[in-house]
Amino acid sequence: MVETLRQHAEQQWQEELAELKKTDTRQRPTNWILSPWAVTQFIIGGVLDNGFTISPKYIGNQRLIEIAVATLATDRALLLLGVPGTAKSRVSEHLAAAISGDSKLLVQGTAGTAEEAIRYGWNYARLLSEGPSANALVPSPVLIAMQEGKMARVEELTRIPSDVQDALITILSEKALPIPELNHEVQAVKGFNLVATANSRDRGVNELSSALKRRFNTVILPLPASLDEEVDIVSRRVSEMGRALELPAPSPAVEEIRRVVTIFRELRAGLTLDGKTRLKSPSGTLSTAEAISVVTSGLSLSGHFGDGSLRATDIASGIVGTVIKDPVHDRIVWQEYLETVVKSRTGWKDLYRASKDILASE
Amino acid sequence: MNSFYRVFGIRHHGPGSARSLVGVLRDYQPDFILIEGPPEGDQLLSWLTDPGLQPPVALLLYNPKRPRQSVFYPFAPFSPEWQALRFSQENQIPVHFFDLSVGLGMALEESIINSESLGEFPDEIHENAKLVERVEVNIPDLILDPISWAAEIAGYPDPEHWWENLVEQTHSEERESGVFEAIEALMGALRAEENTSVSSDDDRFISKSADKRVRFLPATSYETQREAVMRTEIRNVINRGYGRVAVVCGAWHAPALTNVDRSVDIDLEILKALNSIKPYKIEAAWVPWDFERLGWQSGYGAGIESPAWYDLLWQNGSTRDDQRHAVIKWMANAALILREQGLEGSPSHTIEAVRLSEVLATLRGRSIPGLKEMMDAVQSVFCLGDDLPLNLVQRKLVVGEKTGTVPEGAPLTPLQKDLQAAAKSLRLQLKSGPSPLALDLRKENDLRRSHLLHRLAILDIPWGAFQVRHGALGTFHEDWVLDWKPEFVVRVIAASLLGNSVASAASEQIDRKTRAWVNASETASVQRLSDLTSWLNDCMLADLPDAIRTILNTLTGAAAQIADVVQLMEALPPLAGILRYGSVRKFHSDLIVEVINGIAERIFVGIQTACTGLGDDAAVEICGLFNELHPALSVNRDVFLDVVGRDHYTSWLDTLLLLHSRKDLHGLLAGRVTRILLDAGKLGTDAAQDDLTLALSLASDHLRGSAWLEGFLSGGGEVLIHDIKLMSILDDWLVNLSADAFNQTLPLLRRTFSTFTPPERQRIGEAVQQSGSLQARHSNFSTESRFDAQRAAAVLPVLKLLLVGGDETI
Repeated sequence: MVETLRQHAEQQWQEELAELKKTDTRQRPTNWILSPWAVTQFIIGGVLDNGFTISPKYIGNQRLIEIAVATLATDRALLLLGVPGTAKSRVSEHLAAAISGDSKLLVQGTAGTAEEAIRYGWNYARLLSEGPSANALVPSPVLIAMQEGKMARVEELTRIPSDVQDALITILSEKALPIPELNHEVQAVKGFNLVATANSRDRGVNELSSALKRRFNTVILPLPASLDEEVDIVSRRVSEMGRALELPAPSPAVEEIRRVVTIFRELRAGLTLDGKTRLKSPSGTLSTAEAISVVTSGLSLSGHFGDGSLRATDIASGIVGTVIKDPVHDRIVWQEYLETVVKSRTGWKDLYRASKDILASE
Repeated sequence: MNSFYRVFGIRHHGPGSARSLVGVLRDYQPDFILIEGPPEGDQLLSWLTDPGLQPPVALLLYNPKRPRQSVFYPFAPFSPEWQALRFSQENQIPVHFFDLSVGLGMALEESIINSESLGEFPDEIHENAKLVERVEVNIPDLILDPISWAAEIAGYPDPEHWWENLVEQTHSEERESGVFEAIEALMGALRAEENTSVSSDDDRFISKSADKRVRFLPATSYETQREAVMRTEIRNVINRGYGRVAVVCGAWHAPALTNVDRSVDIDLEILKALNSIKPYKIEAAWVPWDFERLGWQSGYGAGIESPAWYDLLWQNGSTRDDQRHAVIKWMANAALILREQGLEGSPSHTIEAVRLSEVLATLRGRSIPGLKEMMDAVQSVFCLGDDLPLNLVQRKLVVGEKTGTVPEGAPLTPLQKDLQAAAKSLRLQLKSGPSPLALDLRKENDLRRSHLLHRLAILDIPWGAFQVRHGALGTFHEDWVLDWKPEFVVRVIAASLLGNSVASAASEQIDRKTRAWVNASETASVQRLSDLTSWLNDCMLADLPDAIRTILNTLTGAAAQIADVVQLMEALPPLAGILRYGSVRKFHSDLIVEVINGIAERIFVGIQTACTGLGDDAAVEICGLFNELHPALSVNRDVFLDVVGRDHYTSWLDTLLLLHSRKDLHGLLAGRVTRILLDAGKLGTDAAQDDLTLALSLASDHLRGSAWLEGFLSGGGEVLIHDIKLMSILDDWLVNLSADAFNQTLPLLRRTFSTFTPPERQRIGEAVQQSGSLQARHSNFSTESRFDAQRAAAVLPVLKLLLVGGDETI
C-alpha cells in the first residue's frame, strides 16, 4: 500500500473511533456512527470507561463543541466562524469523521467555485450521446452526502460568490435538491447535514444573504485564551505532524515552542505579555496554525541540517518569514520588536542574534 | 424524627425549594412556623396582610444610632421564606423568626473586634474599619449556598436543576418531604467533612485571614451560637404546647436542628455566655427591593445571579411540561428584546433556539434546558455567535428589572423619614411625572430646596434634573424638572447606609469619594484635580460645609504635589466660579481663597515652561484653558477685590506680557495672548497691529500665521461683528497692505475666515457695509472714485445696439 502524505481524520483516528463506538451506549441520531455525547468526547478528548484514552483534537472551550454537535443533531446547519488558524477546518473535519465516518465530502470555497460544485454537473460526453440521464449526472459532494445521509463540508463559505452560495438555501431548508433536467429530485436521507467554515476576517468578501444566514447556527472559534493553552496546542500538533512527516528530529523542545507562541501572541495583541510595552502589530494574523508550521519547519531544519535539537537559528527564519508579510511595514514592526523586546529579554540572546543575521542577509 | 416538629432545609431564594416547601407545609399542617431570620423582624409581620407589600422586598435591620450598621434580609416571590410567611398568614398560623437577634449579632461582632487590636482606635475610624471589613467578609461558599455547591459536584451548573432532579429521584410516598430528608442527609455528610477539615487546619485559617480580619474566623463559633439559639427557640415553642412545628431554615443548618434534645447542656452554656453581652437596640423596616439587588450578599447569604429566570420558573409550576413552557416563554421574550434592538429575532429563530437548547440539554445529560443551555442557544442562533447582544438578554431576562413595593404607613428608614420631612417642609411633592421648578436662590426657602436637590444628586437619586438655562439670567436662578420615580426608593435605601439624614449621607458620600481619590493617587495612578473641583462645586451647591472642608484640605495637599500646570489651570476656573456663587449661597470663601492663592501662584510660576515647545493639540488645549482662566481671574477681581483679586489679576497679566514677549510661542497662543492683552488694555492698538503684521508677514511661516490669526480672532465671527475696535484693527491692517502682499496673505485670511459659519461671514460683510467709518475710508479705494461717467456713457449706444437690435421703435 502506498503511504499517503496526510491521512483523513477517520483514518488517522480509526482506533479511537472504534473504541468509542464499542463503549458508546447512548442514543444515536439516525445514520450517525456515534452519539452526540461520544462525538464531543472524540473532539475534546478524555478517558473512556474501559480506560482507553481519547486524545483531544480541539483544545479550548468544551461549551463551543457541545453547541456545534447539538446543532448538527438538529437539522440546522453549522457555521464555524473565526480568524485564520483557529482550527475551524480541523473541527469541521473531525466532526464529519466522528458523525459520518467520512470527512471527504468537501467543497472548497473559492472565488471560482461554481454552482456545479454545490449541486451537480454533467458528464458531457454521456450527455451528448445519451441525453440527460442519471448516468450522465455528476453529483457534487453535497448531493452525495444528501443521498447517503452524511455530513457535507463547505470550506471558506464566504469566498464563494453570493449567487452560488444561495444554491445552498433550498438544500438547507427543503432538504431536497430538484434536478429539473431529469424531472426528479433528490431528498436528503436522515443524517445529512452541513458544516461550513468562514473566515471572520473576510466576512465582507461575499457576505451571506440573510436568508442563508438564518439557516445556520453560528459558533465563533476564538484564538487560544492563554499562553499555556496555545503552547499545548502547538506542541501536540507538532508532535502529531512530526510523526506523520517522519521528521528526523527528537520531540520538540517545549521552551522553544513557548518562545514562538509568546512572540506570536505579543505581536498579535500589540502588547507584551506583562502588559508593560506597547507594540506595533504586523499585517498577518500570526495564528496558532502558523506557529505550528514555524515549529515544524524548524524541526525539519534542525533534523536535516542542524545538530538534531531545536535551536534558535532553526526557528528564527520561520518566524521572520511568518511575521514579515509586507516587506516594508512588517519589517519595521519586526525590527522594533527585536530591539525593544527580544534584545533585553533574559535568555533570548540567541534568538536575537539569529534574527539579526537573517535580516542582515536578506 | 422528632414527633413535635420537622425541619425543612431550604435553598435561600430557590424557586424549586419554595415549591417543595409549600407542598410539604400543606401536607404537614403545622400549628407553628419558625423561619430563619431576625427576631426583630417579627413586629413587621403584621404588614404581610397589606396588599401594598409586594416582593421583592427586604427587611432592613439597622442600629438607629449608627445607620451604617445594618443588615438586609431580602425576599423575592420565589423565596421559600416568603412562601412560608404567606402560608402562615393565609392559614393564620403563628410565625416567628428564630435566628440569633441582629442586635446581639452586631454587639458580638463589635466585642470580637474590640478584643483585637482595633480597640485603641477612636470611634470614627473604628467604624470605618468595620465597614470595609463587612465588604470583605468572605464566608466560604459552602455555608452560604451549600446546595449550589452540591449541585456543582453533581455536575449541575444550575442548582435549580439539581433540586428538580432530586425531587424526581426521591420516590418516597411523600415525595416532597423526601427531598428534605435527602438534603438533610447530604448536609449532614458535608458538615461532618467540614468539621474535620476546620479542626485540623485551624492554624491555616488563622494565618490566611489574619491580615484581612475576616469574620469567618469567629464565624464558626458564630454559627454555633446561632444554631444554639435556634435550637433553644424550637424547644421554647414546643414547651409552649405546640405539637406540629415547621422549622424553615437554610439547608446548612438543618442537620444541627433535627435533634434539639441532645444538646441542651451545650446550648445552655452558650446562651449563658451570650447573655453577658448587651444587644444593640435595633429598628426594622420593610423596604422595597429589586431583582438586581438580589444579587447582593445579604443576611441570607450569597446573592443569586438570575432572579428573572427564577421568577419565571416559580410562576410556571413544577411539571416537565410547565418547565418546557417556561423555556419557550423565555426564548420568545429573548426574541422580542433582540427585535426591539433591531436585531434579528423571528419566530423561526425562536423555534430553532428552543430546539438547540433542548438538544444541548440532552447532550449534557439534563432533562430540561437550563439557563446555560438557553444562553448558548441564543448566542448561536440569534446573535450569530457574537456575545455582545447577550448582555441585553442577561440584563432583562436573567437579572430582570422588577421592583417591589411597600405599603404606605409602614415604618421607614431614618433617611426616608428625613427626606420626606424635608420635602414636606419645603412644600415639594414626591410624585412622578415631570414638573418644572424655578428657584430664586435669594429666597430662603428656594435656597433650601436647591440644597436638597443637589444633595440628592450627590447621592445618585436624580429626583430633580438640573436644567441649563440658555442666556443666563444671573447666578441666583436655577431651573429644575422634578420627577420622582418609585424605584428611587431603593436608591434611598442604599444611601441610608451612608447616614441618617440627606445632608450627612451626602457628606459621607463625598468623603468616601475623596478618600478613594487620595488612595488612588497614592498608588500612582493618574488622578485629575478637576475631579476634586467638580465635587467641590457639587458640595457648594448642596451646602455641605463638612465635605467642603474635606475636599479643600485634600485639594491643598494635592495641588502642592501636582507638577502638571495644565491640571492646575483646569482646577482654578471652577474654584473661582464657586467663589462667585459664594455670596449668593452665603458661604464663607476664605478657605477657597487660600486654595486659589496656592494654585494661582503655582500656575504663574510654571506656565512659562508649560508653554514651551507645544504641539498643535496641546496648544489648542492650553488656549482653551486661557479662555477660561482669564475671565475667572478678571471677574473675581471685581467681586473679591480685597481678598485675592487685584494681586492675581495683575500678575496674570504680567505673566501674559512675559509670554507675549517670547518669540518661540505657538502661533495660536501668541495670537490669543495678544488679544487678551489688547482687551485688557495692556497693549495699545498700534502694538496689536504691529503684532498682526509681524505674524502674517510674508517671511514668517504660513501655518503659524494662520494659527496666530485663529488665536487672535478666537471666539468666532461674532466677535468681529460686535467689536468695532477689533474690526478696525483688522481693517486698518488690511487696507495698509500692498496689493502684492494682500494677494499673498489672502489664503491665510481665507483659511481663518472659512472656519466661521456662512451666516457669520454674511453678517461680517453686512457690518463692514453698514459701518460708516469704515465706509468713509473705503471710499478712497472704491471703484466709484475712479469712475469716469463720460467714458462709460460712450459705451451705451453700442450696448443698446447689441441688446435691443437696430429697431429704434422699441
